[in-house]
Amino acid sequence: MTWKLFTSNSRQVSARSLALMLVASALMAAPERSANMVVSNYAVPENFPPPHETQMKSLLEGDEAELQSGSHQVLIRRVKWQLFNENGTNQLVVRAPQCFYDYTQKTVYSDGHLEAQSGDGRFFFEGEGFLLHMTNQTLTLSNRVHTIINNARPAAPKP
Amino acid sequence: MKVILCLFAAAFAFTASAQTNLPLPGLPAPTNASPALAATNPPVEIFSDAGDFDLKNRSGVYRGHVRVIYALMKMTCDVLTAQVSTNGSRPETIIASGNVKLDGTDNQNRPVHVTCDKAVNIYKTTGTTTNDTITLTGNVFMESAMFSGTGDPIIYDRITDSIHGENLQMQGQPPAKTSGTNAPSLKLF
Repeated sequence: MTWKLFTSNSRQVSARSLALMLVASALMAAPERSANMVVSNYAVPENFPPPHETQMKSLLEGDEAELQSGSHQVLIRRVKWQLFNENGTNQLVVRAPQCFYDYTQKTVYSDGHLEAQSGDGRFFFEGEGFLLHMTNQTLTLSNRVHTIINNARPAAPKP
Repeated sequence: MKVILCLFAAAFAFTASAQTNLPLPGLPAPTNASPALAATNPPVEIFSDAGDFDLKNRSGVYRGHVRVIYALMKMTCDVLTAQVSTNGSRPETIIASGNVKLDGTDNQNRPVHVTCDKAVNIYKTTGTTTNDTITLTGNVFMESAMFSGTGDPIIYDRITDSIHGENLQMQGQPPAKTSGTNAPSLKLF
């Protein structure tokens, strides 16, 4: 009887343990799933300091963004980074198929392609592999840098 | 020589403006450029292994196998640096350094070749005074259909459209408006 009870209890415990394990596994997996959750229309705006605090300084956008587990990075796909002047005009538009955004370091980097065009459309450059420090506004292109500067004023790039 | 120096300056001006994304003034058109060239306004292309752009401080550095192509002019160097003043609309300082080579043509489409260690274009406006010079230093060698020789430094003043050279050793007909030292074979003024 005791043995049966024990057996019965044992079975119940095992069943409960199994259920708990499954729940725990699910819970453990849950953060990973949420960390890798894909977000659409990702945007990171940054404004100028006072007295221009109402003006946007830069805007990092992506069609999709995926938080990388165990890091402070977001994988952004179809990236556009815009840099604005204090009067609101567009200074530079940077595009890349994808990049990593480190939201603690405020850096954007990739080993892939990058291209950029000035707001007036006269200056275009591209390269492979880049590191952008958003705070300092410095950009390093690591390979195959190509710049085209037009004297004539073409139409401004599409927003 | 003035032609290629003007082209050099034009390419420099383009380059530096490119670094900063500032609204560019008109291209400082080469004074001896052909009307066709001026009319078409060909783009400047710059190729390099790598580049560092400081958008905040308005400066940029192209590194490694730098090639600048503007119309029929081609310049190569190891490093090309440009700096624009905060309030300026064109570059104040542009420096090409390391194995600087310029190939272009004069106003009669004859080849002109210049090599040096360093080429610096400085543009500054103070009050009503504007200075715009190109200085070639370090193993400067120039060769054209009309003359060839060395000098160090060779300074081209774009405002006065004159060239000053020191330690000149040249053969052939000198370029107009040339002054300098150690160049007894040249008619200097």
